[in-house]
Amino acid sequence: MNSNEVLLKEAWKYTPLFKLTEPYGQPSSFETQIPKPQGAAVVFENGFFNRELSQLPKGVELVQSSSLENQATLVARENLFRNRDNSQTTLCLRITQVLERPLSFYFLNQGEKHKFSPQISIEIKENIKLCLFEEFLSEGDIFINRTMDITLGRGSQVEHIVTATKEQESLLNSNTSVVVNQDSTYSNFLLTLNSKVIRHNLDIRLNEKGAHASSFGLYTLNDNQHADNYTFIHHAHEQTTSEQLFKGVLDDESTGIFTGKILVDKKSQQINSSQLNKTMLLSKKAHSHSQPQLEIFADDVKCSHGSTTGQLSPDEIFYFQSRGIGQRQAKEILSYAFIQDILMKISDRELREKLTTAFTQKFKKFQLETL
Amino acid sequence: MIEIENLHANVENNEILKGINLKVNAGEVHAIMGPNGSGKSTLAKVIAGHPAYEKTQGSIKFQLSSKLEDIDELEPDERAKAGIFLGFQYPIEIPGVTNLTFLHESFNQICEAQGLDPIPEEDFRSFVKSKLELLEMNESFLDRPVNEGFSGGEKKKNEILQMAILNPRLSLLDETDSGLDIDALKTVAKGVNALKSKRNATILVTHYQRLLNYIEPDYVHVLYKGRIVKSGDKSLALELENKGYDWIINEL
Repeated sequence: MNSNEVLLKEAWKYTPLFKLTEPYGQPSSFETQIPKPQGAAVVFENGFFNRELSQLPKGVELVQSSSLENQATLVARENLFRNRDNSQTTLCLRITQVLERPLSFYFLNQGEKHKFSPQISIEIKENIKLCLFEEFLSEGDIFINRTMDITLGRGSQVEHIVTATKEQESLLNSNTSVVVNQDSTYSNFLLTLNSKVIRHNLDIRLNEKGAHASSFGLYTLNDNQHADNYTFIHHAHEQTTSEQLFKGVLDDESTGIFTGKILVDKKSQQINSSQLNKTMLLSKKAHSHSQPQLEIFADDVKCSHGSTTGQLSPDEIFYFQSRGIGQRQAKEILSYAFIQDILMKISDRELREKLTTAFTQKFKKFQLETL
Repeated sequence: MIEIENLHANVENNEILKGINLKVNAGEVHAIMGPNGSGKSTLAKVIAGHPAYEKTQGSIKFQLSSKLEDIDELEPDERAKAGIFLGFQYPIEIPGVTNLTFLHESFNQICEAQGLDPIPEEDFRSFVKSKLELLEMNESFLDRPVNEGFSGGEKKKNEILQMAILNPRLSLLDETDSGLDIDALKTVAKGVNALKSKRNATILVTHYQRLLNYIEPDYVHVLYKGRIVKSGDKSLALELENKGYDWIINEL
C-alpha cells in the first residue's frame, strides 16, 4: 500500500465502504411524494434544486457558478465521495444581507436503490449573520451524497445545522468544506438521529486572524444505526480559535464514531483549541470509537482534548426511583440531560424546540435494557 | 407502619445487617444511632430498595393499603409511590435537569399512583413556593439543575423540600444533619417537625445527638455491627452523648 492508500484505509476504518458503495443508480424521476415543508427555503428534490418549490428570501442570490469564487471549493480535501458525480450541477448562492430567520435547505429524496448528489456552493459576504438549517427527508433505501462549500466573508457569524429528524432507511454521506475568514465565527451542528448509515466529512479552515470555529455533534442511535463523524479543523493562520464537543448516546447494536483531526501549521502561533468527545453506552452491544488526532507544528498554542465513554450511573437511577420515577423514565431523562447542553447552543428558538422534541422522541424508541 | 423482622442484608457479599428487628407506628419518630460502619445507612437503603443492597433473610413489611405487606417485590419507585421516602446522605447531582422538572415529574408520578390527575407546571410552581418558604429557600432553586453546585446545606434542604412535596408516610432521613451548620440544621429540623403528623412516621439515621435537640425522637436505637443492641427513649441519646458508644459496646 502506498501512503495515500494507508490514509484512505485509516479514514474509513470504522465505516466499511461496502455500506456506501452498493450499486445505487440514478433516479428516473425528480419528483417525490414527500410533503413539502413550509417557509422560505431551498428545496432539493431527488438531488436537484427545485426552483418552483424554493422561496429564496431577500439577500440570497442565485448566481452562475462562473461568477462565484468559493475559497472552500479550492481548499476542500479530497475524499472518496466528493464531486464524484460530475453530471450534477452545483447550486451557487451568494448571501449579501443579514437573515433574521434561518435559511432552510430541505432535501426530499425518494427511491429504491437510487443515489442523489446535491451540490451547493455558498459565498457569504462580509459582516453577515445567518443560520443555515439543512434537513434530510428521505424515503426508501437510497444513498444521498451531499456536498456543500461555504466561505465566510470577514466579520460574519454563521450557524449551520445538519439533521434528519424523520425516521429513514437512507444512507447519507455529507461533504462540507468551510473557509472562515478574518474575525468570522462559524458554528456547525451535526445532529444525527435517524439514518441507517451516516458519514459526515467536515473540513473547516481557519483562514485568517480572529477566525473561530465551533463544531458540535450529537448522535443518538439505536438498532444497528451507524454514525461516523469525520472532522478536520485546520488552523491555517495565527490567532485563530476552535472548540469541538461531540456527544453520543448509543443503544442496542449501534455504532458511533468520532474522529477529530486538528492541524496547527508551523506559522500558526497563538492558537486556542479544545476538543471533547463524550459517549454513553446504554447496551452491552453498542460500539463507540473515538479518535482525537492532533497535529501541532507551532509552539505557542493551547490545545486540549479529551474523550470519555461511560454508562448511566446506578446511583443516579436509584435517586430518580426513590422519588417515584420509574427506571425507564429515569434513563430517558438522564439521556436527555446528557445531551441538552449542545441543543441549548442553538440560537434560533423554534429550531431549538423542534430539535429538542426530536431527540426526546428518539429516546422513547430506545430499549434501555438493564445492564 | 413498618415492621422489620430478623433482617439480614449484604453489600457486595459482605453481610452488613445481621438480624434487625424494628417496629415503627404512625405518628412516631425513631432515631437510629451508632458508630461508623454499624449499618445505619444500609438499613435505610435496604428499606428504600437500593439494588446494590441485597436482602438475604428476614422480612420488611410496610402498610400498603390497610394491612402490612411484604415489600420484597416492589421496585424502588414503587416503594416511593407507596409512601416511602429516603432522604439521601449524599444527594446526587443531576446536571441538565432542573429542580422544578425533577420535582414536577416526581410529584406527578406519585399523584398518578394515588389515582390523582397530574398537575400542570405553572400550578405546581405555586404549590412548591409555599414549601420553599418553610425551608427558607429562594425560588431560584427551582430553575437550577438538581443539586449541581449546591452547598452541603442546600443539598440537604433540597432533600427535605422533596419530602415536603411528596408528603410520604414513612421518611427515612439518612444523616440529614451531616455537613450542616447550626442555622441550616435548625431550618432542616423545622421542616421535618412541620411535616410530622399522626399519620406519618420518621426514621432518623444519625451519628450525633445534636440533631435530636431539634427533632425529638420517641425512640432511640443503637445499631452496632448490624444489630440493634440497645433501645430506649430520648434520654438514651443524651447518655450516649456523654459516655460515647464505647459505653454500650463494653456492656455487650
